[in-house]
Amino acid sequence: MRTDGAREGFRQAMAWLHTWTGLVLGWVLFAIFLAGTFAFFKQELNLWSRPELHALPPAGPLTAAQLAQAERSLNALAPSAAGWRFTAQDERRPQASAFYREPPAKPGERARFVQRWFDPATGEAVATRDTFGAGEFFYRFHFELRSAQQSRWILEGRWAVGLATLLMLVALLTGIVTHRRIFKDFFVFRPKAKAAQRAWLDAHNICGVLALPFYLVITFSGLMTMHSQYLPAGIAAAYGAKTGEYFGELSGDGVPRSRGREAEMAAPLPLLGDAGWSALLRDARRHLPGGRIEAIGLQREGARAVVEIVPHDGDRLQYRGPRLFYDATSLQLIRRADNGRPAAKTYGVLYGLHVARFADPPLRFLLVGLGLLGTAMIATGLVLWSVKRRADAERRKADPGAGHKLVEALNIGAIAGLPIAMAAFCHATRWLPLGMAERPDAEIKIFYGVLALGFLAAALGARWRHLFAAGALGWAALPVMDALGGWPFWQAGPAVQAVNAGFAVVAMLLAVLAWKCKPGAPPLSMKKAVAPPEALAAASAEGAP
Amino acid sequence: MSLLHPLLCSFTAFAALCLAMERHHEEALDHAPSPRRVKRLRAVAVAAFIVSWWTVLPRPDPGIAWTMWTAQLTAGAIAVAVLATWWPRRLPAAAMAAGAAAVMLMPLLPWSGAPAG
Amino acid sequence: MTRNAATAKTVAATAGVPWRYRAAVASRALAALGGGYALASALAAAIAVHGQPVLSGHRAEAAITGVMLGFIAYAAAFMTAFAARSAWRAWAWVLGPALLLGASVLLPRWLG
Repeated sequence: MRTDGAREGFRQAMAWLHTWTGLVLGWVLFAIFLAGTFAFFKQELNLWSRPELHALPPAGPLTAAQLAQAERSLNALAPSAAGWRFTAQDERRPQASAFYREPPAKPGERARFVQRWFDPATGEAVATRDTFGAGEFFYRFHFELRSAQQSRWILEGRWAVGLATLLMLVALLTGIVTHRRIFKDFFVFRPKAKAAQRAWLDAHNICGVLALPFYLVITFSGLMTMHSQYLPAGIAAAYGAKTGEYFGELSGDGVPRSRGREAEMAAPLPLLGDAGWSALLRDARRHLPGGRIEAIGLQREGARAVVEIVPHDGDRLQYRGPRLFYDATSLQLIRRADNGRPAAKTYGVLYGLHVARFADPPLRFLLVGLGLLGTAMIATGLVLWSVKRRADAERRKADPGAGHKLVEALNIGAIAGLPIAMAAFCHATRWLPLGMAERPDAEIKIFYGVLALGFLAAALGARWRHLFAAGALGWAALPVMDALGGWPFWQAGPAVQAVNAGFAVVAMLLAVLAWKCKPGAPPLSMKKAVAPPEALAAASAEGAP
Repeated sequence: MSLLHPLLCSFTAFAALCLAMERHHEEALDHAPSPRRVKRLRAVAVAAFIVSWWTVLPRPDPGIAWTMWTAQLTAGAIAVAVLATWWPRRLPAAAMAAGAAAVMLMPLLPWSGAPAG
Repeated sequence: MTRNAATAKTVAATAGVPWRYRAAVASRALAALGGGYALASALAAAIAVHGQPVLSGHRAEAAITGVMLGFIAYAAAFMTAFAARSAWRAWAWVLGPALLLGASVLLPRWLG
């Protein structure tokens, strides 16, 4: 939009819109993308956060004996629970886990969800530390900006993320419209260009164009994962007052679940025993040829107890897989829940693409690379705005203004400061006293505290290289302190070792960035920020935003 | 191995497309490409894309197959962009090596339309 | 440059932006965010209701279709609000379809 109010072309208007939708919540988007990229390794990071589980051997298949033992353990731990859900071990998580809803101590209080970890070999519960889990926190931070274990701001956090995601979608679409030479400049990156602005624009363009299908899918599917909160009008229009039935019908399971409250008063859950689980698993595997089992749930449906068998999320693209429901007493198959209709399938595929459970290790690493590229796209965009604004101001011999100073400080605090805060969280999961009350909340407070310190440091004049160097040290310290700190570092399984290697790689990336940002390095110094007029004219003729 | 062959094919394809562009051809080989060469390079690219799609296909779930194909396409494009930026002169040799490797690996792949399991 | 001179230059630079411009940006932004949401909701509701006969009465299918198209419409409305020739037109392009679609859902309920 032009300040003089004159008419402008569609491309120019979209270029203006691209700049502002990218800038307004760009730092939130950076955080979402970076945390989301780490969340691709949620299970590995969660395992890393619980050293008590590191000595477990790599996972074997789910056995009936294991289920029988787990059932006995759960019955002892929570005899009055209305139901439980047991998640089996797989190649990414050597431990099994179960969660159940503990009835409230006093009537009128909220029931709490409790999660326990099980050794697959013995079926016994393993005592683990009270931690939020690095993987779990990065995952929840990236879609709800989680601030505490029992947070009151979950809905608000999701709204903020939803708004940022919508702006990201608009930024992507306007970026495509604005980039006139999208095919000619497909492979063009001139890091040594005379004008720093040209180099930053190239970097932003190439990060954006090369992985464009990935960004479009991730952004749109991200909106869809929380569509019931963001756009409830469609559901309300079709269901009126009975919106609760929507999710059941969407997943192909029309039977309403009992809420659990009245079910808690009913008889205790049946124990199937070795023979029962053996028969169930055999029948289930017949119905899921070649498929793995992800989870088993035991819950009430009306008067009877029902076993729900959930196939592995990664066995097909559409999330969730077809679930099998068995009567817990007669062990007969009652129904199979799946929705193969086109729109529901599209939604399921989008969801599946977003959470990427289907990815085997090579593809998972590739997706992490694309996530980092997207993070770089956002970061280069933010820096480009700052560089361009400063160049314009220098050309007019004017002061860039307070807004520019704010953006610079926010850029440094977000782009260089967030990695430090994430490393601090990982450290907190290790080093906070084990018996501490509300330990997960303390871990999260440390994360936000360090993040705030990063912004403060940036406001007080800390430069890129300082914060990048601090981040490199923080991440490098994680595997080092693990090796020295008395954990079973060398006996830990391959998943944990891969996480340690990953930490080292992150540290190296940050160290390279810190080194590239040292004073006098050509692309970022003040001198080169002001381009010769011909270069700037050429840049604007090519449709630079 | 699951992604290696499609990756080699898409690297070859993108490298061919890149070299078919005047600016990158000049950076790599110091002269502009002739119209015949441009046509040939584009044909090589199309063929390599088709082969990369064909070898990704034997997979239990077609949706996963398409996703893997798109993902490895991006990886191939990134690799070519990296080479074209910092080592443009190595690009033709790298493309030919990748293409040769892709051709030589073809007999080792599961060929029928049946899923590889 | 002294602090006063620097402040004066900043004030001069920002004071040059007319209030008309700021009002236009604010208006279009509101049309994009608020009007766009109204359009997205109206489209989602319309498809959820009118799409059911086409989709053999399956409510969830119509609802999820509506939501997916609603998000796409939201992005399109956002861009339209800033591509329109004036802020007034931006509102017309966004609210017009929203009102029509909303009416197609609500009027049958109110009247019958």
